[in-house]
Amino acid sequence: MGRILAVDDELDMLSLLKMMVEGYTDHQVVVTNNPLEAKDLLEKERFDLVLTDLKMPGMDGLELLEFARRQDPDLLVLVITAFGSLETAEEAMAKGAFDYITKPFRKEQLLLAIDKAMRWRELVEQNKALRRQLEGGTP
Amino acid sequence: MKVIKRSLRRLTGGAPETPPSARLASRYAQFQRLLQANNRTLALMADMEEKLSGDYLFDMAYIRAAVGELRQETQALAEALDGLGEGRYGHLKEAAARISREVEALLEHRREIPAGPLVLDLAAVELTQAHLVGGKAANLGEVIRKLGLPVPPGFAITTAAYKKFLDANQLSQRLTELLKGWSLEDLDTLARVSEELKAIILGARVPPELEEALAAAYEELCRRLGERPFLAVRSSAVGEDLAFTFAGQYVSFLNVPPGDLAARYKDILASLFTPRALFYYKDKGFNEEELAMGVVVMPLIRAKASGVLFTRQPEAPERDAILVNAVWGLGKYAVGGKVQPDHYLAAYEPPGEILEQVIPPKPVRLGWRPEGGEVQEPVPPEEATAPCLTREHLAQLADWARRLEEYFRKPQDVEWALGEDGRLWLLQTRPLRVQTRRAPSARPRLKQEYPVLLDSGKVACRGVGAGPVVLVKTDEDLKNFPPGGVLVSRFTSPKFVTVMRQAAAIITDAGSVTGHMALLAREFQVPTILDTGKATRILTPGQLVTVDADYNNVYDGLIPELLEARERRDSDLADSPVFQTLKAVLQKVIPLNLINPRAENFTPEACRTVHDVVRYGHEYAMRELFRMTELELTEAGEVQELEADIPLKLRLLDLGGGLRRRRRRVRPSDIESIPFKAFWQGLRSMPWPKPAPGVKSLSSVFVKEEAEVAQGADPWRDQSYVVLSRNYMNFSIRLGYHLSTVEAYVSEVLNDNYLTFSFRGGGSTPERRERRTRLIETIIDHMDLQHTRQGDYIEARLAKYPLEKMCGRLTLLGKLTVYTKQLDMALFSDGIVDWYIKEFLREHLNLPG
Repeated sequence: MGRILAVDDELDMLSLLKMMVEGYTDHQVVVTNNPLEAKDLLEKERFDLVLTDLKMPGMDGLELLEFARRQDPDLLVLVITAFGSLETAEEAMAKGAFDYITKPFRKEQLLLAIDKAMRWRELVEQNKALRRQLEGGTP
Repeated sequence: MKVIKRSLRRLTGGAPETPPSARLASRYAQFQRLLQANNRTLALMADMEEKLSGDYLFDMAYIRAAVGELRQETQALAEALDGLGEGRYGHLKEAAARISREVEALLEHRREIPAGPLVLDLAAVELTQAHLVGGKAANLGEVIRKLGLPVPPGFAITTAAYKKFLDANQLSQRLTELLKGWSLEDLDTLARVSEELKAIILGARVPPELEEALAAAYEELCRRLGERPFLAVRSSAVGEDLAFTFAGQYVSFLNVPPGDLAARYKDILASLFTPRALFYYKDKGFNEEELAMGVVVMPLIRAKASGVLFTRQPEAPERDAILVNAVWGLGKYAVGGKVQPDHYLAAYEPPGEILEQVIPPKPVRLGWRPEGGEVQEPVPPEEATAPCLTREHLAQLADWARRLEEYFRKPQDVEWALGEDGRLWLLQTRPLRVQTRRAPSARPRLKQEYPVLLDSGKVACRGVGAGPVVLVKTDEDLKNFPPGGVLVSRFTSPKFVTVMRQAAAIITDAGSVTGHMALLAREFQVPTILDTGKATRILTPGQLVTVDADYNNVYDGLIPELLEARERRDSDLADSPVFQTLKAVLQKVIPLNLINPRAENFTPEACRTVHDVVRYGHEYAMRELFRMTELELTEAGEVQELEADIPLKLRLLDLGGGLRRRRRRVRPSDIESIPFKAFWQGLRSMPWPKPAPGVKSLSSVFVKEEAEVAQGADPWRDQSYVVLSRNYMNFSIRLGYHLSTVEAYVSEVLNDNYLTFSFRGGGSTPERRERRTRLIETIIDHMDLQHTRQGDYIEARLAKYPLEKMCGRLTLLGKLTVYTKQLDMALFSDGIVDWYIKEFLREHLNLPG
C-alpha cells in the first residue's frame, strides 16, 4: 500500500481520481487543488507518488515537479497532461517525471501507470536496501 | 435555347458573369467542406459517447473543449449547406446556433439553487430534492418515508435559506472582491484570509425572515415531542463528492440550545471557507451555486452509546456482514480517535451473529452539559471494558443494513445512536465507498468450444446479447420486430432506432462505427457489430445466436456464461458531477428526431439535437449536389469529350482531380476519378452494338421499336453527361426513353461513401415497362442496394461501404446500364426477362442461374 498525492485544479477530477484509485487499489490518495498546500504536504508528509496536472491556473506543474524532486529525489511524479500539449509532457519527462498520461484517459491506463510506478518504487527501495547490506557486509 | 439557359440561370440564382463550371466547382468545394464537418462532428460525438462508457476519466475541460468543437463543426456544416444551396438553408444555420446555445447553457449552469421554502420537515423531504436540502437531509427523508426506520423527527434548513442569507448580506460580491484583492503567496496568508472570511460570515446577520422560520420550525418540533429539546445541528452539503474534496469533513454541533441555532447555522456556513475552497474561489470567482449548503436539525439524542455502521466491509464487500464501531456517549468519539471504539463484525444471517469482536477499554465518553455544548466525562471502570452493544442491537442494525442496501442499491455508511431508553436511532446515512475488485481473470477472447459464425467486423457498441436472428430489409420488417431479436441487416440505418429498445444486438454487413446508427446504438446500449461483410449471408432468420461485441464474435446458439459475464457499469463514476454534466450534454447531442427523410417533419425547425442538424445537413447536401448537377450540366461550357471505341458520346465536366488533362478531348486512360473509373470499366466491358454505317446517333441504334415510336413520344436526344472529381461522379445518361443517373462519392472515409442510382423508364407499353423495371429491381437487389419503386421510377442507394466494394458496385452498375439499354428489344415476354435476369446474375455476380 502506497501514498499518492494528487494535484489538479479541477475538484471534479480530484474526486474522480481519489474515488477510482482508492476503489481499485490499496493505495491511499491525498488530494489538493492548492499548490501551496501541495508543497506543504510534500514537506511534511511522505508520499510514494505524485500525480499532477501540468497546466493549472495559478500553478505551474513543472515547478511542483522540480520541488517534489528536490524534496525527495526518489519520489516518482506521474504527469497528467491535456490532449495536445505533448511538448510540455516531454519537458516534464526531461525534468525527471517518471511517466505521463494524456487527459482524458481510460481507467485502466491510469491504474497501469500507477502500478508501474509503484513497482519501480519498490525495486528502487529494494535495490537501496541490498546495497546498504552489501556495503555494511563488506569489511 | 438561349431563353432556356437564361431561365435556368434565374432558377438557380446564379450570376450571369460566373461561368457555370466555376459555380459548380465552388459549390462542389462546399460539399466537400460539408462532408469534412459531418465527419468531424460524428467522430466527436462518438468520442464523447465513449467517455460515458465508464472506462474513462475526464474533466470539465474536456467537456468544454468537445462542446466548443461541436459548435464550430455544426456551424461549418450548416454554412457549407447554405453555400451549396445558395442561401436557401439559413434555417439550418439558425437551428445549429440555437442548439449550440442550449448545449453551452448546460455547462454554465451546473448547479442551481432551486426556489423553495426556507425550512422543510424532514419527513416531507424527497430524494429528488437533494439540491434544495443537501444530500444528508434528502437521504434521511427517504429513510423516514420509504423505509420507516427510526429517525428522530427534525427539519431541514434549505439551500434557499443559504441563498437568502448570502443575498441579504451581499456576501457573494463581498467575498469575490476580497479574494481578488489578496495574493495568496503562502499557506499562512491563506489561513489568515480564510479566518477573515469566516469572520465576515459570522458577523453577517441572519435575515429576520429566516430567523422566524427557524423559530417556527423549532416550536413545531416541540409541539410534536411534548418537550423543549436541545438540538443536533449537522451540515448537509449539495454535491457531496465536491464538498468532500472541498471541505474535507462535515461540521456538526451537538446539544445546541434553541437560542443558539442561528449562530450555529452561521458557523456551519463559515466552515465552507476552508483554505482549499478559497484557492478554488480565488481562481474562478466565488460562486454560490458551487457548494450550496443545507443543514439538518434534530433533537439531541441523549445517547448511552453511539457509533457507525457500515453495511459492508470496504475492503471485503463481497462478504455478507456488517461492520459496527461503538463508543459510550455521543458519537463524535466513534470517529474522532479519542478512544479506541468497539469493533464488531456481525452476520446478516443469522441476523447479528457476531463473527468477530474487539472490545478495548473506553475510559472516557462525550457527554452533554445542561447549559448546552459537549463535555468529556470519565466512564466507570466496569463499564469502560464492557461492550457497548448486545447481539440484539447488532441484529437490529443488520436488519437496517439489509433494508438500506435493498433500497439505495449501494453499501451505506450509517451513523446511529442508542438512546438512554434503549432505543436505536438512525442519524444519517450516505453511500459507502467500497473496493471494486477487478475482474478476477479476463475471460478468453474466443470461446473455442462453441461454433463461431462471424469473427470479423467492427464493434460499434460493446456488450453481449443473444436471441433469434431477425433479417431487416424494409421498414415493414422494423414494424414487426420482435422483442429480444438480433437485428441483422445489410446496411445501417438511423431508422433502426425505432427498435433499439427491443433489439438484443445488431449486426450489419456494412456501416461505419462513427455513423448515425452507431451513435444511436451506443445511446441505447445495444451490442453492435458493423461491417462484417457477410452477416446477412451467413445468418438465417430465426437462428439463435450470441453476439459478443466485447470481442467481436458471433456464436451459433445461446452461450449462458457469456451472457452472465456481462460487465457491470461503474456506478460511482456515473454519479459524479462531471459525468452527469457530460450525460446532460449528450442528451442534447445524440438522440435523433429526424429519422425519415421523407417525413414531413424532416426540417431544420424540427431539429432538436446536434445529431438532427448533422443528419439534415448531410441528407440535403446530397440532394443539392444531385439537383445542381442536373440543372446546370446543360449550361456548362467547358466540357471535355471522352474519346472511346464505344458508340457513346460522353461529355465530361471536371470539378477537380477527375481527369489527368485539361484538353478538349480526353481518353479513358486520362480518367482519374475513382468512382467514374470503376463505372467506366463496367460500361466498357459489355458488348456494344456497332452503329450502322452512316448512323451518328446512338439513340438511332436503340430506338427502333415500332411500339415505342407508336407511343408518340420523341426520344430524348443522345446526351450523356458526367460531372466528376477525384472522389465524385454524377453520370446521367439519356438514351432512348430512359433516363438514368448514377451518382457516387467514393473515398477512403467510410462515412462519406455513398452511391445513388435512379432510373426512369418511359416510352414502350405498360407490360414492357413493368418487365424492364422488374429486371432492374431484381438485379440491384442482389447488389445490396436499398431501393424503392414508384411506377417505373426506381431509386436506389448504398452507403458506407469500403472503397473497393463501392467500386465493385459501380462497375456492376456500369454493366447494368448497358445491359438494360440493349434489352428494350427483348422485353416481349416475362420468361425472356427471367432468363436475362439469371444471365446477368450468373455472368456478373457469379450467382447460380
